[in-house]
Amino acid sequence: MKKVRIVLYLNQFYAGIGGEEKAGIPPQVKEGETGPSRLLSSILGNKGELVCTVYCGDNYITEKPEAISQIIELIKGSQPDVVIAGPAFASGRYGLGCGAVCDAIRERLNIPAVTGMFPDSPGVDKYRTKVYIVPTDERATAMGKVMPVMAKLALKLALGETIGPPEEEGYLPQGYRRNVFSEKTGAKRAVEMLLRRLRGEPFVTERPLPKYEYVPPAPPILDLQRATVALATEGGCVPENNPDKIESAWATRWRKYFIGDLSRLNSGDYISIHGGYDTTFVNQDPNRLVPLDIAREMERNGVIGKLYDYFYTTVGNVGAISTITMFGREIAADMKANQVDAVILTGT
Amino acid sequence: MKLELGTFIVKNAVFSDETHLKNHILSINRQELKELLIQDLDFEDIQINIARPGEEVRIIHAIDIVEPRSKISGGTIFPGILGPPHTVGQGRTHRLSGMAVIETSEPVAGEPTHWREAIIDMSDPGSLYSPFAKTVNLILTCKPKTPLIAEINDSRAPSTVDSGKFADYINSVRIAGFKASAYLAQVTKEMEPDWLDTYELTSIDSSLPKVAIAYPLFHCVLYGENTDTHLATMIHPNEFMDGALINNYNSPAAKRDSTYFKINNPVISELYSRHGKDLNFIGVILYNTAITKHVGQDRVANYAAKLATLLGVEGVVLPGGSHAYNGAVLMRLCQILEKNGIKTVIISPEMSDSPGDAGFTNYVPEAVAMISTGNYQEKISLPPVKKVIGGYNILETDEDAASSLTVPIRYLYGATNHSGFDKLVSKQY
Repeated sequence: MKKVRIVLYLNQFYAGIGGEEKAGIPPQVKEGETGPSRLLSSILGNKGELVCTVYCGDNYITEKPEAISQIIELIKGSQPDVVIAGPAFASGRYGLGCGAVCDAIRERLNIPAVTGMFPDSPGVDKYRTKVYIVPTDERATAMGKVMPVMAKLALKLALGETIGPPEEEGYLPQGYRRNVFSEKTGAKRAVEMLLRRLRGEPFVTERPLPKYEYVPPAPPILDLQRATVALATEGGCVPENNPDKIESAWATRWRKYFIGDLSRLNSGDYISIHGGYDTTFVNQDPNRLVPLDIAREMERNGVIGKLYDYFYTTVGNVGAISTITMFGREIAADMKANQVDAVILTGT
Repeated sequence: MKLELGTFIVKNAVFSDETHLKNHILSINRQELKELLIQDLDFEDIQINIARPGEEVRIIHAIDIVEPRSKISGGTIFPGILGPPHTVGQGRTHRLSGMAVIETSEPVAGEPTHWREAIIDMSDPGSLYSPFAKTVNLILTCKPKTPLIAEINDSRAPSTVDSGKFADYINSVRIAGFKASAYLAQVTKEMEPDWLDTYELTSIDSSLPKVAIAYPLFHCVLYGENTDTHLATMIHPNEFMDGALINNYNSPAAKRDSTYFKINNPVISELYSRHGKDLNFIGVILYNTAITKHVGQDRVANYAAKLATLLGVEGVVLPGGSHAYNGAVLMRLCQILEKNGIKTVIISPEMSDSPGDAGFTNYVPEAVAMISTGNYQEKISLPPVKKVIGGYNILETDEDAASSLTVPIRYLYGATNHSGFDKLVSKQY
């Protein structure tokens, strides 16, 4: 039986090139073995052959628009039946890179692909509906647990076999609701489920509810004239050249920028890079988004005690809920460490 | 209340000189039926056709669907419409099983068409999605008197004809369906049924859990009265079986709760079959969901939940759509019941358009037990057919109805019935 041809995509670290200092390297074919390639080969046995490993720096793939095309070119030459990327575990940029590679391989070359990521990483929310993502633990120590699942799914895809539901095949639900015929009518299933509930027996709903956490509101500020107030926004307001390269969508980072004694944000010095709304009005006058002018006036007039020296910013556009939740926690911790009492949070 | 329901199995139907049932074949005097229907209703014409399971026939523009039934004693079938509004659900009723009466009509001036189209394919693969592909269907294709006719898709344009009358016309169409249904079933008056079921909520072991259905009213007619201004009330399941509650609204076909689904409500059948065994079937609460304002929705939900509490029920089945404003009432009712310690199960279709769309427009955290009756946004390819009954072109797309079509299963009548009549379910992929 013909062996399935597999290409593996890794980042600079797993390819054994180096750490963060090598994150800017362009894509290349890896000569020789790596940890993941050895593991994958041993799992494949004689069912498949790892014909090539391609790697790229995490910064290069997330920052350079030409990166994906270059990687595709390198992969193409090996004529794979399927591509495996990662697993990236909880690494944000690596996960996004893996997702991007798999998505492009599928779309441009019509070749199936599988990757692995920690469920809370930004790559999951961005790519889960387009790419098969096997959930992993946060840490790379779980490589031995997840690679066999990825390899098995990859082989099935390569052979054109029907892929079953997520709980059977081990990938993250992609969000499709597909119709099948049950053995029993809905009415029968309903009465059975109700009886289970009445008996206190376990049951599984056929329509899980979307999960949103309830955040209890903080108590009100009793003495605003003594309070330190910070400005924050998810509208993507950043200094003119977006020095920290906050993304316009699916943001992986938030930043705080010094505003010191500034009495207003001047047009040109600050812009919005949010990809989800027309930023013309904000670019004309950034105070429309981050109301520094009014806040400073209030500070001068004693309405508020003090305006915090920095404003916090990120882009909420199609933000992965889990990622944005993480930002919320991190920003809150930073504010608390800096004695901020209240926040004016502006959005779009 | 005790109802004896006599079932007569129909395996085929043919047109003949005389209307009678013999050896499971229903012979129908087409002319006699047509005259009966046109006589006092506002029609230019009614074409009557038969479609059988397996035939390469596509029925389109369907409106309501009814099972032929007639009361031998204990009142009139479809009370308040075909006879006085006296309580039914007792005495004796005869039904023709394996048969359905389907009314169709081109939409008329003023009639909204955005979810008017309803298709039944009598052969595969479309037949898999409609219970009416398995029944022998008598189709009434109605035509209004000339002034009401409009071009297809014309309903949004201001009409020079008397478009306010469309509701009256569609009403007449439904009544024609009920009349035809009673006319056909009446042939069995002196006959012995193939089998007889007795429906009675007998008193039973009081330790069994008390269960009720909370059934949503959405533009229905109850004993001849429109339910749009109602709050909530209680009804005996047998009253459903005699057509006390009928459908008066063309919601999207896949979830359209035709009169057939009310007469043959599967949750009622299921609860009856378990009455005295695993549960104590208390009855049915009806509650109005045709309410757009929050305060009105809250009022109805509270009122219906109170009825459940007064009845001492422990569990409630909630069939109905979870979408739109009517779904909001269902969800609010679920919430109040659960907060009062009453366990619920919701039966609902889904409308998930794209991955990641969980198909919910309304939900409450208490809606922990839900049955899916399928995602009606999923598309299906239907082959060309030899014969179309009911019209010519598919509404909204204007395609030739006889050609191959790709439609969301939303168009297939009864595909995702919200009482769980059939076996379609949606799974997470």
